[in-house]
Amino acid sequence: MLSYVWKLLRARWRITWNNIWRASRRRKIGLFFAAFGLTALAAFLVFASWGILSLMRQPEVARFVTPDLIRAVPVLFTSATFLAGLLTNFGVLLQTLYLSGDMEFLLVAPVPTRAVFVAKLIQAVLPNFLFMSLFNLPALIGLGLAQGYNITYFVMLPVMLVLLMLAGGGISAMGVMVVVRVVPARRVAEVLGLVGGVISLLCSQSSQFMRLSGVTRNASPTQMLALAGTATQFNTPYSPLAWPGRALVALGEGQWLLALFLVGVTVILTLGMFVVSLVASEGLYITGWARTRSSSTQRKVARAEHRHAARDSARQTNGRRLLPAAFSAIVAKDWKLLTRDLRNYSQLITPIIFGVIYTFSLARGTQQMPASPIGRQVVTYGGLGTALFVAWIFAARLALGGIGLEGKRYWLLKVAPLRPEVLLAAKFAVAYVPSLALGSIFLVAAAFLGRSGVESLPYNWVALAGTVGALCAVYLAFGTVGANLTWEDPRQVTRGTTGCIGWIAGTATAGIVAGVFSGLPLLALLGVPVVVAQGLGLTVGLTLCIGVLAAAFLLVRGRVALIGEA
Amino acid sequence: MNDTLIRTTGLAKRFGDKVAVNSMNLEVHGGEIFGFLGPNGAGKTTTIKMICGLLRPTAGSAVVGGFDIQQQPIAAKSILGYVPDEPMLYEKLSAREFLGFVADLYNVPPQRAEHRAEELLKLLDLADDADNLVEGFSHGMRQKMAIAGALMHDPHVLVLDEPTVGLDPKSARLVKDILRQLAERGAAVFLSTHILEIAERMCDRIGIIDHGNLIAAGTVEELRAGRADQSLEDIFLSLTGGAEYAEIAEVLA
Repeated sequence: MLSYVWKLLRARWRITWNNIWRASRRRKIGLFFAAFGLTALAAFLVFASWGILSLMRQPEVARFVTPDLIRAVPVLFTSATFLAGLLTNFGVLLQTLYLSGDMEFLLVAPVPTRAVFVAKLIQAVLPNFLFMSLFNLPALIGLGLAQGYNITYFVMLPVMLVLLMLAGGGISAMGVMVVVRVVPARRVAEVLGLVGGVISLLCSQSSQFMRLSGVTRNASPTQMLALAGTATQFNTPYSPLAWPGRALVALGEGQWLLALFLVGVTVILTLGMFVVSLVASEGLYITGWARTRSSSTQRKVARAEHRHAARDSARQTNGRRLLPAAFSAIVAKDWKLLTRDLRNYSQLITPIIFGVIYTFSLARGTQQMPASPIGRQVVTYGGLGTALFVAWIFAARLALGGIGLEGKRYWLLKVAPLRPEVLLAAKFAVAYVPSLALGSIFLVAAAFLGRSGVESLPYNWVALAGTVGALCAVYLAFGTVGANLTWEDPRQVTRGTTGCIGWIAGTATAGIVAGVFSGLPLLALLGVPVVVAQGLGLTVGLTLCIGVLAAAFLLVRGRVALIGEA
Repeated sequence: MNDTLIRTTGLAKRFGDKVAVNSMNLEVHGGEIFGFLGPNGAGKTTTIKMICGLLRPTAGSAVVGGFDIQQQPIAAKSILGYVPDEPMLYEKLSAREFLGFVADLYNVPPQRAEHRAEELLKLLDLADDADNLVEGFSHGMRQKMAIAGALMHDPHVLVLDEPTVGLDPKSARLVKDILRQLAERGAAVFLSTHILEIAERMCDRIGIIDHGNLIAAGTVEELRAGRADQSLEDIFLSLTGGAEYAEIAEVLA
């Protein structure tokens, strides 16, 4: 079996090598600098952790950094390696084991399934392991140097990390195989995409949550001691998670008998987990994979027939349609595609979370109406900023990728008797209506939660509607010109340069239009009646929006026929 | 002879320095099935894509039902049905929703669309899966969906790129019958295929393309002129320069 694993891994290595060696010169230079940077980072981390841990022997910090805490550090790192292996590898393994394109080819070849599984497992786990080792290894080497640990610590350190990662990966692989027997692999991937997106966003916004919940940044000495105590609690002899870390410390400190016992237990446990996953893979993997090939999605579209009947009766009742059939068809189709693919939610939920955070921030900061006139104006039109921010991200996702999201299915629209303006109008509606709806919700929330009051709501709403319209038109124009119909990754629906320029152009448009809408009413500060100032804002702002919208459509209309041309 | 429903005049396509299709002139009439043959990379799919308006020609024109596909695309596309070689469909639509969507694109009246969709789903043995999402369909089922979509608006011109690839024998036979019926009702059917047996049995006329040039066109009898003992395969190989491979294959066997 090992010879097959070697053959499979060698092929993978050849592909990686070709990707580097046959890349453009620009990419090679980029890769060289990236490798150099990562090596420098690892070296820096070794010296940084060595230096920091050496400094911690100073009397001022020694009361916080006890020898027990230092001994707990390897335990924390090794536990993190195992848990990270368990969690991060799940998604990667799902893709590698079940959704990669080479599986048919490999499974019809005279190669043992177990060899395919092992090769795929290593191929999935290795990049994660290397990434984590970039931080783990230097930190623990620095710790060993600072503590004066003997050579066996440094020798066994990478071995332990590899074993832990393999064990975590093995358990993760078993989890994947079990889950795929119940839920189709693609569905699991969609759910993971959603969960991953939401978690990473929540993590990135954790400081905002802490600020909103009133947690202070500066911890007191008592809190520091409590934190240190919590860390040492992980270092308990009864926890199997702590054994690899304790084994490393025992090795470093020369407690040979204890070290031998703990290393032995760790090796037996981790290898045992890996072997169990290997044995289980023989049956689970092949049947699970076969299931992904043979089973058709049995999920019936909910109440499809009822909706179908309702739609038809509505059509009959209405008689003539108000909108072209193709327009309604594209809007309805895009809405279904967006809402049925869970991967879209992770991207669409981003602006909602941002919006909630900033609306609450605004609300907390504006409990009292400022006394100064400028402050009052800022509060009055501040809600527009939050609503626009939410709508802006939403619109960018839907309008910039509107055409590109069609991907390889664009042929259906291209061979249909579809006027360019109908296609553009439909794609505009798909982006505009939800963006405006979401923005409106936040605008209303900001008006009621803050002190801006509802009297500014009508003006702000018109300003929002106009700005979002201009924004969607600009994004759609760039999305049409730069549509990439051959994407494999949904994040690449627009060609890089056009997408980037589109983002800048859209942001600039939003800034200018919103500036006009919220800037001109400031004339009230100079004594101009509020109604006149707002009227001026609406007139100039809406004229600008209509101008941007018309220009974008006219400029891009002729490009529609070129979409999808080689 | 019925009206000419597909006419290409000097149709050409270049990709950089490579000439994919070189000044192609051909006609397909209503009521006939035209088979388009050629080796891999000969320019079949590029020609088809230009006829359907998926690619802009570098030179020349393609006229469908009297309408230039580039100058009057809406009118031309309204009477055209297209089945691609790779049926890329919307994964998250059900079969019925997909056909409804296509019907709307082609302005098929709702009641007729409903009736037509049911008819096609039954005909192509997809009725049981009508409310399942396309993502769970096999290649053959997707191919049948693409064919159903192309037939939704009852096209006068049907262009198919390798229509029987991935279909089981029953479905392949069904598709052949559908194409024959369409032709009998006056439609022009233009299909590319690698299966010479299909071309020989089904097609009224055959065109052979090689290196972007239409090197022969006519009925099987016309192509066979002067070499009555040869099969279509022999004729194809002698025209496209593949005859030597047959000899090599014999040696290897």
